[in-house]
Amino acid sequence: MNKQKKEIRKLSLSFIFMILLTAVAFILVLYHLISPPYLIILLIFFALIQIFIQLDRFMDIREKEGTYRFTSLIGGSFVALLAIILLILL
Amino acid sequence: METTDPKHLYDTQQAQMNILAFWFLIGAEVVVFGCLFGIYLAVKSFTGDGPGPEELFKLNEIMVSTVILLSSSFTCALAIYFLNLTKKAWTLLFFLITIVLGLGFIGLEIREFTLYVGEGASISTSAFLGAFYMLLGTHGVHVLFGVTWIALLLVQLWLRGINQETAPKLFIASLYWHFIDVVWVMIFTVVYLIGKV
Repeated sequence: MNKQKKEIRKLSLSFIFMILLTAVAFILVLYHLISPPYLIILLIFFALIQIFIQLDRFMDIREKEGTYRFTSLIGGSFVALLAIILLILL
Repeated sequence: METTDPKHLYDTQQAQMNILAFWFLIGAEVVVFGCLFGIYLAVKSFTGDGPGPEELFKLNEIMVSTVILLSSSFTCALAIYFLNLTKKAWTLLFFLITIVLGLGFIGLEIREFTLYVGEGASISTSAFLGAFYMLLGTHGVHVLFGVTWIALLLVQLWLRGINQETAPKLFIASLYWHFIDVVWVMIFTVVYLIGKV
């Protein structure tokens, strides 16, 4: 029972943290609290944290054959990043 | 992640292979969305005679959509938690909430697009809007597909209960749902928030 409660708490905390990150990002943009170049870096950083939480807490990426999962995801991200850079440079 | 579940639900060779194959699909989907993001970023400043991101987007409404989709990701995780405990009624309930939230998100997106088109910002107005609708539309279709997929799996769950056949399917659908949410986090940040900076 204790273990179950712990699991529920872990999921809830992850969710609350993601909502908080979204809210902070939203407020920063709405009130222009930080100058643009730094703000963009911060927003992307917030997004990356949220993605990490989704992958780790909700999608169990670190389970048994996690290596294959990481390979697949990192492979996809690498090709995607190349495409993004090339498209912007075109 | 350590879970409280009886893991035997996913122990069959078939289930393990299916889950792994789905991660490969997610890898491929990352490329699809990566390309759409690339196109969007490349033509973002080509607004022609149409409105740009700053004039067009209404952040308050997008914030509501974001909270809805994040919540659906949470209810989906809870559904899997109850699935692992083989509690059918709770699994059904939380997946149903996920579906309702997903439909709410689609409804808001349709409303948003209708408003934009009403303001004269359609897919053919400018390169920026073309790329915007392509990216958002592809994501929206993914949400619609996810809702349909989960709904069909719930019928199966209702009829056959939680077993080694139904549980892995629902788990895979949940991975898909979380992936859709990951893509939305990027859209919210790159398109809407940075568009307003």
